[in-house]
Amino acid sequence: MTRRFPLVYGTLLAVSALGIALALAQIFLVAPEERVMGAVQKIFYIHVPLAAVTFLAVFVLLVGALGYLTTGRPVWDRLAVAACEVGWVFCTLVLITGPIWAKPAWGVWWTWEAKITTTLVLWLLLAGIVVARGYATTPEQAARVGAVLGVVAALDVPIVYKAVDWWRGQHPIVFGPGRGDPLAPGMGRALLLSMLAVTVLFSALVVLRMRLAALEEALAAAEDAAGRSW
Amino acid sequence: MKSYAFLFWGYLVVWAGIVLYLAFLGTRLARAGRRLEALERRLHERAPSAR
Amino acid sequence: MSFLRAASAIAGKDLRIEGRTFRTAASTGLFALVVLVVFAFAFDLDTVRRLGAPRVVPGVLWVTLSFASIVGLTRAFEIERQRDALTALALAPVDRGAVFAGKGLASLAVLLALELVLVPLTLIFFDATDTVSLGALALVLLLHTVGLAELGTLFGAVASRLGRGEALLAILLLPAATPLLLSAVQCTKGALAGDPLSENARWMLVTAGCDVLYFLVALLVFESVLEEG
Repeated sequence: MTRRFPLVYGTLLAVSALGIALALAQIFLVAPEERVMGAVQKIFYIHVPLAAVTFLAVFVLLVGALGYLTTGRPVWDRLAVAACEVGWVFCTLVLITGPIWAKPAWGVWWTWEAKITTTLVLWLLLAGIVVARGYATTPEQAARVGAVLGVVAALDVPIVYKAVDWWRGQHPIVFGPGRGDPLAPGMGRALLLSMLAVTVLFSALVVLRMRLAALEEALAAAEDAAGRSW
Repeated sequence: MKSYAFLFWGYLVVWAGIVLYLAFLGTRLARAGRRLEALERRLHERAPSAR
Repeated sequence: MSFLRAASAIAGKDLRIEGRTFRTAASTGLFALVVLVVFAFAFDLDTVRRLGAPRVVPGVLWVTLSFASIVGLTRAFEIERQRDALTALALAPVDRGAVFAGKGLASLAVLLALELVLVPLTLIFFDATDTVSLGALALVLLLHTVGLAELGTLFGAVASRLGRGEALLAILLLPAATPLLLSAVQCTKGALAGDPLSENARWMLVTAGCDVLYFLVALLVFESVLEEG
């Protein structure tokens, strides 16, 4: 794994850079400007893929956490911590680009709509996992805590969404996201390209983060061995 | 003109966020790698016959 | 030792320890009272009357209960931290799930006892006694406190294993309890307004389902939580 790694990572990074360049070209040069909102609507092409990938990260976190709880093998924990951290970074970007889109589009920076609120709660859940892991005294404890919290968080997300959705049903939104407008053809392709590019970027970051986790594990083991050999 | 400001800041934030995270990962990776190499060198010095 | 026997033994132990000093109940109760008074300063009675008590009081009540439960749950696990009793429990030939059930049951008892005092006080402080349907309120409180106790015990064990207290527990518990708290506020609003339970039947049923789900998930993962760090 260690020798193949630079090649895998380099390829992923190059592909994501290429993908992003292509997507940006499609977004700014080809896709038509939206009739009502104008150029600012183009944030949508980065905001939506970021959000989709964030929820993909939650799924990967669940897989990693369950994998670690059932097998105890470190590779699953590496996947879980990578998905958790990278997912949290992407979640932060979603929560920042969202209001930047919302203000010119709907006139408000924030609403408590179901998707937006769920993303905020998810951000808190992921942040909690990162914080809790930081308090662990051994790597095994960090892995176990991360896995338990990861499973609960991942399972909670759909429940949160449904609950907020019903809650909003009792307080209908006067302004804000409603039914989506149909996409013009140039827009659809831009969104797809952007979605692919962001997914590849996400994968590259996850692989890189897993590499860091593996290195830190090896470092801890070596420090253990060094301590014992005195 | 105002809408272009939002567009600019939106993409800038995303780009900055990704770059920051990559920089964070990069520094941590470099540091861990360096410490690992130093430790392995010390372990081999102490016990060259160790596996 | 059978699951039920183990769980009730553990719950009994916790409650007996509590019964000797009432330390947990006292600190939890006083903290809850303090928060309630702060809310009275935040929302004066005039504002509450104008908005209508059923719209303001549920939020006040459940924020107070959530905060108080965090204090109480941290105390509950602090008992174990002394002399590392948590490890002793983990080593005992007892189903891990029974440990969860036992501690959860004890926390539930303390929380319900707290509510017995806190809820009437809240109704009185905020002048919400006119239209309240006590039976519905009791059921709503019971159903949602079970969920709170379950999540609180799970996250409380994690926080305790990490050697941390209230702050970490709050960070972990409150976001995860979002659906529970949303439902609690909705259903309490209905009970305060005197609506029949069927109005909020959907919320109640889903919460009941979540209570079962949280219990099952906790049973599955508690083994990992208790493991030697």
